[in-house]
Amino acid sequence: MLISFKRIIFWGSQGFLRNSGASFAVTIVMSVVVFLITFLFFLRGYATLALESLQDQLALTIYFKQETSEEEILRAKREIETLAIVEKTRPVFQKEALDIFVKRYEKNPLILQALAAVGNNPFLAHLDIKAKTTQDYIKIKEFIEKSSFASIISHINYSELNPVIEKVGNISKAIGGFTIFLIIIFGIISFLVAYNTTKLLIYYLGEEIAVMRLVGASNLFIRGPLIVQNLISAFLAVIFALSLAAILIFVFSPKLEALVPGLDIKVYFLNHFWQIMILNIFTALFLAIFSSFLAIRKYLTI
Amino acid sequence: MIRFQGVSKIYSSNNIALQDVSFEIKEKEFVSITGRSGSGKTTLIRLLLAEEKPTSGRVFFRNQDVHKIKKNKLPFFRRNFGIVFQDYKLLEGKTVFENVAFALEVLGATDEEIRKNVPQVLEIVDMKDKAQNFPKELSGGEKQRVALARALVHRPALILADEPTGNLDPYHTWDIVRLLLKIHELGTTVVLATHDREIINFLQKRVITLEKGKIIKDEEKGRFIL
Repeated sequence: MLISFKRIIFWGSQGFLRNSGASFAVTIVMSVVVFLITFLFFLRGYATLALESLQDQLALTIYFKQETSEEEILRAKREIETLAIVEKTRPVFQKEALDIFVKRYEKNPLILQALAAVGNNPFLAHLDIKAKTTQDYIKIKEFIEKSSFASIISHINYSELNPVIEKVGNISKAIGGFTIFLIIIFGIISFLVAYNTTKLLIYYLGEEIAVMRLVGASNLFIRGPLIVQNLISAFLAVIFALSLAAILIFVFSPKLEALVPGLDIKVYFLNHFWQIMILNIFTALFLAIFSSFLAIRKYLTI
Repeated sequence: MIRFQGVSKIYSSNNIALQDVSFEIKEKEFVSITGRSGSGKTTLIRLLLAEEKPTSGRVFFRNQDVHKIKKNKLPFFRRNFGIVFQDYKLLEGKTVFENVAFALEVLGATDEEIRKNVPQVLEIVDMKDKAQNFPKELSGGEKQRVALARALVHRPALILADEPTGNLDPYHTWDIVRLLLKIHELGTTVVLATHDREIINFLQKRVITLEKGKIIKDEEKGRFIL
């Protein structure tokens, strides 16, 4: 058995080198599939992160009446936090609201002069509420309207927030649909590429397999070297595809970051490197073994 | 050794390859099977190798019905034969040495046995000097000698040669015929399918003549009659 194993490995490696043209072609088509899978992984990850970043900027804000005390606001905060659908809350008291405004317009003396003309602090204390999902904002709003502290509320920004929530929902649906569409397209492309890899193998192996069979070679001796040959192609395909992905990511990273600020695709790549590597290896292994089996199945019946 | 018992192979009503063929070949015989192109010579060999199944009848090799052998056992069954084809069927990606060694490697021979036996067989067919050449670097006659070496190297019980001289010039044709005779003298059964009149008449061995899938003559020291 050991001698057979040694021969299979040797024949596979020898076949890879001697049929360099076919080996190169098989490696290229495998690289294309592995790269497409990597691209899809990134696309899915990028879309999810972009959406999360958008959702992260959404918050329901309740404004309290002028005379509301900090203690009443904190009591309202505690009551809201009893809801499981609330992710977090952040109270902004009148003084802080004024400070934020002043800081924002410190380089605009006209606005600051207008503020000074008002005399007192015109800003209302408010509570920013982040829900776990965008669908939860309406429930939180309804809860607040019926709550014990409804009387101290000046207004809620839901009417301004709602169109934004709808937009984010639509974008989310569009991204989801687009991702499924791409998965289908790439799936078809991958299948066609794998199928043609097989055809390529059949083209240059058909006659040889028939001869091997007639000389008395068992299935192990016919399949084995081809699988080894394809595994070498698969190994190279993973290296090619990963290198290409890394180059593209480092080149296009600044442009992608401009689209979704705060989202660094390089960091995403490095954080998910092993995940991508394993996905690539499994794709390449599947392709190598699937195409080998399919390619010679026909000839093994002789 | 070989027994064909009422064998017919019918592809379609107007394509009958063999019709009720019966004959026997004994150990250490040299038998030529002759007939025009399409007379059924190659079909006969393919049936013996279990590459095809007969429509009716049975084919025996050493009392074993070859068409009852399980698919996964066929490679082992075929190791009883050394096969030579008209178009050589060498493995193009392997050198002369590797092509011959392959027949031993699939049997599980050790590297030492291969190093010892392959040069010996290449010596017999006078191809030792070209052991490291690839098939594309050889002439037709040289390719056929390599094919013969591969057929011989594992010392099979039977050599099946299907039109082995069909693609060769007269000089190389006689080269191969002499080699087949030498192999036979060394005690191997040889079945030669050919439609070459001169070879048949030269051999003066048993001749089975086929016409339109039927045996029309089977005689010891036969001659080409078509």
